[in-house]
Amino acid sequence: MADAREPKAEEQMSINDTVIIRDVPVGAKVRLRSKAIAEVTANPQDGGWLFIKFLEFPDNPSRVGEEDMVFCTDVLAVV
Amino acid sequence: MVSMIRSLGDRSLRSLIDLDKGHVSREIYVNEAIYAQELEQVFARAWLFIGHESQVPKPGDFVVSRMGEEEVILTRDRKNVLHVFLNTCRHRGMKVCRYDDGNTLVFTCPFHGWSYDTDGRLVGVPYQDAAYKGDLDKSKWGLHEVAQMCNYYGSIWATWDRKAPSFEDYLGPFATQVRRCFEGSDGEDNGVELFNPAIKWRIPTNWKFPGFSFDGDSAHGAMTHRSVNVAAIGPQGELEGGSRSGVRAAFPQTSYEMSSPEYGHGGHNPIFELPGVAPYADTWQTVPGVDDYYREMREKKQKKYADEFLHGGTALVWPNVNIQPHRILIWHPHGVGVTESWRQYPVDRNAPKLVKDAQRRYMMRYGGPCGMTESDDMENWNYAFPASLGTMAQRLPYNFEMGAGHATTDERVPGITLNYRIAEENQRSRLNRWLQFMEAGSWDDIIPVKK
Repeated sequence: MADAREPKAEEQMSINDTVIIRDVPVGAKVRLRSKAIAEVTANPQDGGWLFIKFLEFPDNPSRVGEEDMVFCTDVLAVV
Repeated sequence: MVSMIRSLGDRSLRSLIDLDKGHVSREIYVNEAIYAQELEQVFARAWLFIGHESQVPKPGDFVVSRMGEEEVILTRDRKNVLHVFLNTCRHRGMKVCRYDDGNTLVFTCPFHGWSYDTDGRLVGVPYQDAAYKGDLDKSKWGLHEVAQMCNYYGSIWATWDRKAPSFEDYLGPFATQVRRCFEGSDGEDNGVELFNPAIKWRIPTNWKFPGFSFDGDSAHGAMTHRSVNVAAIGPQGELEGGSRSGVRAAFPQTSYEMSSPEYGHGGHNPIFELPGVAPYADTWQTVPGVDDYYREMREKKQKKYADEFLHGGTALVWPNVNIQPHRILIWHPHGVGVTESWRQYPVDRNAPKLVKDAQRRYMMRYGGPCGMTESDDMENWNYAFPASLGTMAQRLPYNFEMGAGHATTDERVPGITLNYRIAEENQRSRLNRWLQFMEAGSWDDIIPVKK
């Protein structure tokens, strides 16, 4: 499940660089474009979105513990 | 928004319908402009049947239904609240739900990815920060919800019109009959569940052919259903002389066409001359054990209604649904000459599997696209429509004279008009309500309205 590829800058990404998230299981950790690390709390399996909880958020520590949704293009890797 | 038709050339809509004589122009069944006006004046305004709470028992459950030509989603949100939403993304209009039923966390549009919670809120917008830069107010772009929804003893109804009266006021004198259609066989309120999925198929006819005649056209039975009566598809098989219906015990009663011209609802129903419910007559000889169940349920129902004079049993709720204890028939408009028929079958929620299976198989051989009884009906509806399209044909009115001028009332059923059990009173009532809706500017113009 882990994606070992080096993340590209967003403007360099093509559609093929999008991580396939449809089957990422609940409990998996994902690294986000915002540099945050988040835990998957639910996966609607629509291929577009994950429900997550922030575990690490270097640029915005106040959001640690907060729940949100992330779109597939914001997911850099399953870690 | 279509411009409203009050007249066609030098003819008014009212000139197409003469209910005193019982003459009705074929044009109201075949005219494209009139059909477009129906979608606006009838289906965007009336209370419509959506489904049943048993179809969405758990949070996140959903089932797709229809209101007029448009798809809606009946869903139970994570707080256990039921909603009915138009099935269209607010961004570019794509369906946000492409499954007939299921369970989901969110409804995500497969076009650009806008994502909606099961309570309708827009919760996910791709590139919200990078591209919209925080300018999009998501709170204003949720799924479009119906103006009013009603859970009526387990059945779900909705209207797009916030000025419509409450659903119970909309039912008027037929409220009790609709309520009892959702009773279990033991007489308990909200005692049924629906078999899933609904049976759906399209027939080449105008929705009013089946929608106005079903449960309002007893005269067709002897001719149209001659063959299915002989085939003995009823639960009793060939016993008791065979029939498409089950065996019923003798009980003092008189059957009528019951209708309400002011509301447009109707039914074919008996008024019992004695209190309580009819004795149970064995009718499920082909499936041993089923009669035992229904006999026990009848005893429970008798205890509830021992002192009450009952009437009713079926109800055609204006404009396009017929509710019966074991089947719900819906005719969705799908074009002036196409109707999408839906059949849903209620069964006692607490019945054993043996009973549910027996009921389901009987309903399948009775109704739906392959059911022998409705196959008979479709022959008529499907050929009457094209035979009414021609220039010459449209000069000839339909005849709805049967029983005209012979309606009566009975204090036991206040607000309801009675006619002989074979009449066209119900169809005239529906046509009267149709005219009211088609001419009205808003619910303020449609009688009866309770403020």
